[in-house]
Amino acid sequence: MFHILRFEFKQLLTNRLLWWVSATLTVSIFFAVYNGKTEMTSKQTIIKELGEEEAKRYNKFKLDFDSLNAGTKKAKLAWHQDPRTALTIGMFRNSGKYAILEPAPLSFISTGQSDIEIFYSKVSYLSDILQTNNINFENPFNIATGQFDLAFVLVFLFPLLVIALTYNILSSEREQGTLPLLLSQPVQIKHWLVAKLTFRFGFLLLTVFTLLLLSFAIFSVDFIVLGFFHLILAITLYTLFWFTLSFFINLLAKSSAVNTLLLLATWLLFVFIIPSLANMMATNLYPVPSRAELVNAKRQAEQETERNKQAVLTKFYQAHPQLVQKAEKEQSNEDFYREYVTLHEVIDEQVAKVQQVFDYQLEGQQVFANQFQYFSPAVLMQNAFNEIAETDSKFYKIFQKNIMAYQQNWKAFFKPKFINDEKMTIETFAQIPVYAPTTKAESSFSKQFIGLALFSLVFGLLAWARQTKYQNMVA
Amino acid sequence: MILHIAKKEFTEMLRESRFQIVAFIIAILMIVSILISKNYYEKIRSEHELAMQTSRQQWENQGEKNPHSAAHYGTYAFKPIQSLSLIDNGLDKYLGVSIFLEGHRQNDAQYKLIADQNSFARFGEMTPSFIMTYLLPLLIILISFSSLSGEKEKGTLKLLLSQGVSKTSVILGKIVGVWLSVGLLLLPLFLVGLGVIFTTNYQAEDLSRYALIFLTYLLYFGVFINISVLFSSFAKSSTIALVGLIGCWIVSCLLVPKLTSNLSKYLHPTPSAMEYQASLKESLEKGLDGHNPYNEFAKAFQDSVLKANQVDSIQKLPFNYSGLIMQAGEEHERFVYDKHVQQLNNIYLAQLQTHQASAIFSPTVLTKILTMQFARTDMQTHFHFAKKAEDYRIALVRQLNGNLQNNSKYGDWDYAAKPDFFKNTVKFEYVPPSLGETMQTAMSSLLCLTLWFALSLGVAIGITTKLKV
Repeated sequence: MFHILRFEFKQLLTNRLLWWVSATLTVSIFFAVYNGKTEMTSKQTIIKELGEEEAKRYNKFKLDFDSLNAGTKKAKLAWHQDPRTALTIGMFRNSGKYAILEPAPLSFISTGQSDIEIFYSKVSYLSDILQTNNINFENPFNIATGQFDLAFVLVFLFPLLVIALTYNILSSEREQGTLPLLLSQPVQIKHWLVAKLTFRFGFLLLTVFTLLLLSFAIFSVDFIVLGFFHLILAITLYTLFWFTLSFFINLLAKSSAVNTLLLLATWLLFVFIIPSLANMMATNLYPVPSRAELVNAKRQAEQETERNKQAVLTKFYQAHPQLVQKAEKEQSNEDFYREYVTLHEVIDEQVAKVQQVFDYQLEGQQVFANQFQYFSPAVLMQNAFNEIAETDSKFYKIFQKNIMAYQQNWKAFFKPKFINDEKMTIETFAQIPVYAPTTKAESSFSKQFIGLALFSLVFGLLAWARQTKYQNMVA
Repeated sequence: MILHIAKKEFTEMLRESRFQIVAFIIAILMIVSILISKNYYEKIRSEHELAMQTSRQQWENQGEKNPHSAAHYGTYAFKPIQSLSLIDNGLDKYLGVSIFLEGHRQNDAQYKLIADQNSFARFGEMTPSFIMTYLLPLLIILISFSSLSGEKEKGTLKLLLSQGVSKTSVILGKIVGVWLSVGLLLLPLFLVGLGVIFTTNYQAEDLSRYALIFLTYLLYFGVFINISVLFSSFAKSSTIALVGLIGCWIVSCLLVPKLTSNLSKYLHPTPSAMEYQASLKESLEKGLDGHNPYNEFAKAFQDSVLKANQVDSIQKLPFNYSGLIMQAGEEHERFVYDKHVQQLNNIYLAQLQTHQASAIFSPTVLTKILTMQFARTDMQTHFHFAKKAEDYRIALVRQLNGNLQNNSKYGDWDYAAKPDFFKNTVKFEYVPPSLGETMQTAMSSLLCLTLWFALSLGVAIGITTKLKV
């Protein structure tokens, strides 16, 4: 057995194809890691700048607040800039603190949904936290084309290298006429094939892992995290799948040309055809609910509240007998915003109901679409990568929920101040809510790993069934 | 002679199971995909029409309201779906569907479908354009990789040449032969597509656009046919030809587009949303703010208005000054927004040009750019829509401010316009860019693709005729 491996090693070293494979892999992995790292660094820079911007804004509030209180500064501020009013700190244009989703340590391995989802949001009383000012700028053509990230290299390109290294192991022996010679040796052909494949499997994996470690080190990525172990496991499982597939195809005893065709066809099927077909099925069998309808339904809710304005306000003043409703002309700014807040609360409730129905349908759609991932190891692998990188839509959806919860806190803090016209104090300045995620999203890739393992198992079994037949055929 | 060879090639291919099976699969996929696309198109179209109507109704029925409050209340513009999107939905998924139109602000289109889908959607969708761009070249490779190498391997090429047939005739015959087989598949698909378009709410122009999309595909397939025959002629064996051709396909369809995606961002960096907002805010503050009378520009404006009307206070003006200054502010804001949006759009277009330049290595990129331009599902059409929506917003806000200016007194914020006024405000009717406009942007890509076709044909003939058999 050891002989086979030694000769295999010598043979591999003289293989020109192998050098090509290694070179391609090296360049691709380095470029992909560089891209991912650049993207991650730019996000981290933005996050840093956000923090600085927020600190600057609130420091200015604090300074103005102190000097106004001490009377050292003449009040040259318009009323909507006066930091002593809760409205300035909690509602107006300059108010608001950031909720930020820090990129995960391994976020550079897969772009996932990170190029279309928001990773920060300025939360204030009225801010439409999921939309305004939060658009990630990315060229739609580039989004459609996709990024050259590590996930692309390993999900799309890597299988081609496996194919290049394995398509003719058995067929070349036959085509060169050395198969009878091999059969005359005191080693069983299946052992010989398994040994050869295992060797190449190990060799390829080792190369990939070395390249990954090298590139991580060069681009100074912090990879000593649990995620790295999962990444290794994902790559191993995916590679195993392609090797078992190749093992099976090799045993079909076709010519090298046919093997190439079959393997490439399978690659095409798993990487291109099944995902795009499944995507089409999912979008059409279970369509994403209409955003256009949602927009109008929200409007409808707004208009209805607007119509019932007086009823809402009457109820409010009944509940707050210390306050008196004034005619619009006589209202002070505080009076105006008190009613504004009251009305908005009702509107928000109505809108939330509409949004809830939409979200429920959307979630159903995603769950439905997700089932299709089990039809393709490539999709499973991509999803596993997104989970490890924490760039799957799941993480962004949870982030959005957390932002909304944060805004609720913000509102709960400021609402009584608006209603009762309380002024800001040194204590309340310190108590302004800050963002803390209420739900922590956990990576879960066990489903994907099991799926990948099952794929390997199926092709492994097929190959096993085939090899007895092959033995008889050549004998 | 060319025709003889072509005919022989054609008959042989038709008999081969690999052509039959793959052509059959592609035909089925194509028909299913066209029907599903059509279904989707109808759904979106009816949703869009309903949304437009509802939104207008909501605007018209807002009752008595101060016109400037109405400007803040705002309305929506919805982007219509194009008939040809059922052939190529281009960037539709990646662009927003609705724009909120309100006073003082130019908003971006919201709600990208892609953000509502999960990671699956990033793998691509089995649309007719997907099949044409990615799968048909594979069929071409499959039927032509052995067209010359096979003859070489069997020794029939020598036989053929010894009969006095020129090498040029042989290669042209092979190329025409592949065209005949591909054409046999394409013609019915073309007709099916045409039939489905007839059932949509198409405009006459869409038919020429459809023809142009098909022309683009024909040029693209031509490139692949030429290259396939070329590889087949000089490769040592059919297997090498096949592997080389698949390599070309991967480079053109996968590698180059993705590489360029990253490269384009290094060459033309996109600003972050934060930088963008900050510079926008800075520019806005350097001009008139209709809501802030203390703003120095507002003061200057006020002085000039008073002077022009020869009065000493705004109360004495024969109209409501608020409406006038609001409109002046609006125009400044629009100017600033336009400038910033234009800058960002220019960066996107520069990035797109990088993709166009990458066409040296990838005819696929050119084809994609062209078909989405012809289908009006591209970025430029989206910019066009956003521009028209903005023009409409300005026209609407002008009407609102005009009403305020002419019908109320200064400081009278209780003034409310009659409900009828809102019913008579301008309506938004979007007319997408004409074929002439599209041709202007598409011309360079179309020329490049034609060049690809001509060059690949020339090289295929040139190299093959010099080859020793």
